[in-house]
Amino acid sequence: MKLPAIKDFKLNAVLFKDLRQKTKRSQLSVSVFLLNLFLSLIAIIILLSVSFSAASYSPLDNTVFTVFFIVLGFMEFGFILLTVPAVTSGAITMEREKQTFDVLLTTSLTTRQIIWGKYWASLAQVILLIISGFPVFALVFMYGGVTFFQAFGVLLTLLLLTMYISAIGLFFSAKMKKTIVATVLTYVILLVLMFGTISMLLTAGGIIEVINSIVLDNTGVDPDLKIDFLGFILYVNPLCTIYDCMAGLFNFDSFIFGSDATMAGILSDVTHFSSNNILLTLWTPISIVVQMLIAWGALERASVVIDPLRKKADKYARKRKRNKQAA
Amino acid sequence: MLHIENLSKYYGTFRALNNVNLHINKGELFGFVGSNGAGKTTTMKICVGLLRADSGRIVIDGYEVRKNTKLLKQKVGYVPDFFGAYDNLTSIEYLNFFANAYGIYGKEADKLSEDLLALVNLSDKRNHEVDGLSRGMKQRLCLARALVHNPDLLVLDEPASGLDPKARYELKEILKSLSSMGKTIVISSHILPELAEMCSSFGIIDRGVMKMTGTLRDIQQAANFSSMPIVIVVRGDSEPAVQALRELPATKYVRPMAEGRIEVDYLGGIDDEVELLKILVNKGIPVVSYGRMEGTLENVFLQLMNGGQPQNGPAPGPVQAAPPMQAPMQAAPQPAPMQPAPMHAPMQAAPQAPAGQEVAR
Repeated sequence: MKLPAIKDFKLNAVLFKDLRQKTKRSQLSVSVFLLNLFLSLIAIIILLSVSFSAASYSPLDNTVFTVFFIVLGFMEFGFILLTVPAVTSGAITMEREKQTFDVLLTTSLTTRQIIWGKYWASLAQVILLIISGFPVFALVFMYGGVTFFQAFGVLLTLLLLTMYISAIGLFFSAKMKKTIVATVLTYVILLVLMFGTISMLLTAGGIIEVINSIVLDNTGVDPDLKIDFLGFILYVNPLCTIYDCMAGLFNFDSFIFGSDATMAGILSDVTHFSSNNILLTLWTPISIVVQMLIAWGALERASVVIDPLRKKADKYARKRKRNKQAA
Repeated sequence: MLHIENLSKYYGTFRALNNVNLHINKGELFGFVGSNGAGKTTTMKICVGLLRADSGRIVIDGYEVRKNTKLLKQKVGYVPDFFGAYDNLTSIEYLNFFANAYGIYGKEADKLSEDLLALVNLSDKRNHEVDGLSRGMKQRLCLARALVHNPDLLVLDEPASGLDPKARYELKEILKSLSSMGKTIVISSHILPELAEMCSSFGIIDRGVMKMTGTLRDIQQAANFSSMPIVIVVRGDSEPAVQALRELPATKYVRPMAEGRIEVDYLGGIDDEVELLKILVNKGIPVVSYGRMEGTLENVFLQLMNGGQPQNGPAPGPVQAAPPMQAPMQAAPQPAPMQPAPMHAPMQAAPQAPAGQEVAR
C-alpha cells in the first residue's frame, strides 16, 4: 500500500511553506551544530574535571552529575532566551519587509491561520534545536544522579517556556513594522518579565519594610505588612518557572541553599502565605498555565492586529468633522 | 461584477478617496488611470480587502465586500504594485503554497500549478528559485499566483511597471487571453497607449475623485474632444477652402498642410461641424475626407490633469458613469494646454506649411 505523501496532508499552508523554507536554509543546520558544539564542550569539560578529580581523590559522586544536568538545563534556558526572540520576532515583519504579506492576506487563509502557522513553524525550529541537545543531556544517564522523570520534567518545562517566549516574539512581530524593532521590544519585554518583576518586588518589599519600621517606631505596634499577593506577579516570570522546576525536581535546598529553595519556600518568607499553600507549592504548573494563557492571548491579539479590515480608533474623525463644519 | 458606491477613505486628515463610484460589468478589461497618489492603489486595496473604507460600499458579484470577506477572497485575485518573492522556494513550490492557501492540496494543487506555469509561459522555470527570476518572470508568476483559485475578478496594480517591452508585450497577451476567458480584469498602469489598446473601458481618477469612466469613445466625447482639430482633405488647391474656413466665426486656427490637408481648430458642436461641411460643399470645394482628429487616452488624461473638465457624460455603455461625469456641460471650455502639439505648436506640427499661413482669428 502506498503511503500518502506529506504534501497530501492538509497542513496549515503557512506552516508547511515556512518549514520548507527554514529547512532549506543553512542557518538551521549551522545553529544546530553550534548549539551542540557548545553544549558538548561544556559537557566534556565537566566530565573531564569530574574524571580527573575522581581519579585522584574519591569515587564518582552522583551529585556532580545532578549539578551537571542543572547547569546544562539553565544553559539551554539561556539559549532559548537568546534565540527564540530572534526567530519569532521576524515571522511577520519579515513578510512585511519582503512585501509578501499583502498577498498572503488576500488568500483564503484567516489571520488566525497565518499567525498559528507562523507560530508553529517558528516553534518547530526552536524545538528541533532543543531536541538536538538531548543526546548531550542523556550523558548523565550513563553515570546516574538524574532520573528519566526529572530529565523529562525539565525538558517539558523548557518546551513550554519556549512556547511562551515565542508567542511574545510573534505578538511584537505582528504589531511592529520592522523586524529590528520587534526583536528589541521582545528582548526588552523578556528582561522586564524576568528581572523587572523581581526588581519591582524587591522595591515593594523595601518600601513595605520602611513603612513597617516607621509604624513600629511611631506606634510601637508592628503592622507586619508583606508583599503578599504582589508576589504572584512572578507567575509571569519564566526565570522563576524554570528555577522552581529545577529546585523542586532536584531538591536544591538539600545541597545548595540548605533550606526550602523553591518559590514556595522563598515567597512564604516574604508573604503571609504558608509554604504549604497550594498556590505556592504548585508554582511551576500554575505559572505555566498562566504563561500559556498569556501566550494564547498574545497570539489571538496578534491575529487581530494583522487583520487589515479591523476597525481602528480614528483619532482624526473629530478633526475631519470640525474641518467639514468649518468648510 | 464590481460595483463601487460612494467610496471614501481618509489617511489621517488627508482624503484619499472622495465618494468614488464605479461599475464594471462581467468580462470587462477595465483600465484604471490616474497620476501617482490619485487613489488607484487605495481603491484597489479596498476592493481586495487590504484596506478598510471609511464610508461607501463595494459589491463584487452581488456580495458586499465588508460582510463577505471570506467569499470575496475566493472571487478576487490580486497582483500588488510592489511584491516580493519568498526565498528558497521554486516556482512550482511557490504556486503550490498559494494553492494550499486556497484549500487546494496534493495532486490537484500540483496539476493546477503546472497548468498555471504553462499559462504564463514559465514551465521551463518550474524548478528555478523565485528569487532568481527576472522581474518580468516574477510578474508573470505573480499573475499565475493570482489565478490559482480561479477568481472571477483580477485586480492588477501596475503590473507592467519596470518591465522591458518584451515582458510588457507578453503580459499584455496573457491579459488579453484571460479577458477572452471571461475574467473581469481591473488594471492600473501609467503606460496609457498600451492600456488604451488592451482595455475595453477606463476610469480616470484624480486626487481621490473619479473624473470619468466609460469606453475610450465615451471618454473622448465626455472630455470635450470637440476641441480636437477637424481634419479636412480637399482635392486640388486648398486655398479657397482655407479662406472659407477663416471666415467662419467658430474657427480658431486654420493650418493648411501638404496634399490638400487642412487642420481646423473649430469651436463648435456636432451641428456646427455638419454646417461647416455644408458650407464647404456649397462653395464647390471638393472635400475628399472630413472628420475630427481622435483624442487618445493620454490626451484625455492630460487634459483632465491640467484642470480641464469633461463636457459631456459618456454615452450609455457597459460601464456606468461616475457622478462627476454627469456634471453640467461647460459652454465653451478652453482648449487644454496639453492638447496635441499641432494646436499650439504650429511650427512643429506643420513642417510643410508656410509659417505665414497660420491664421489666428
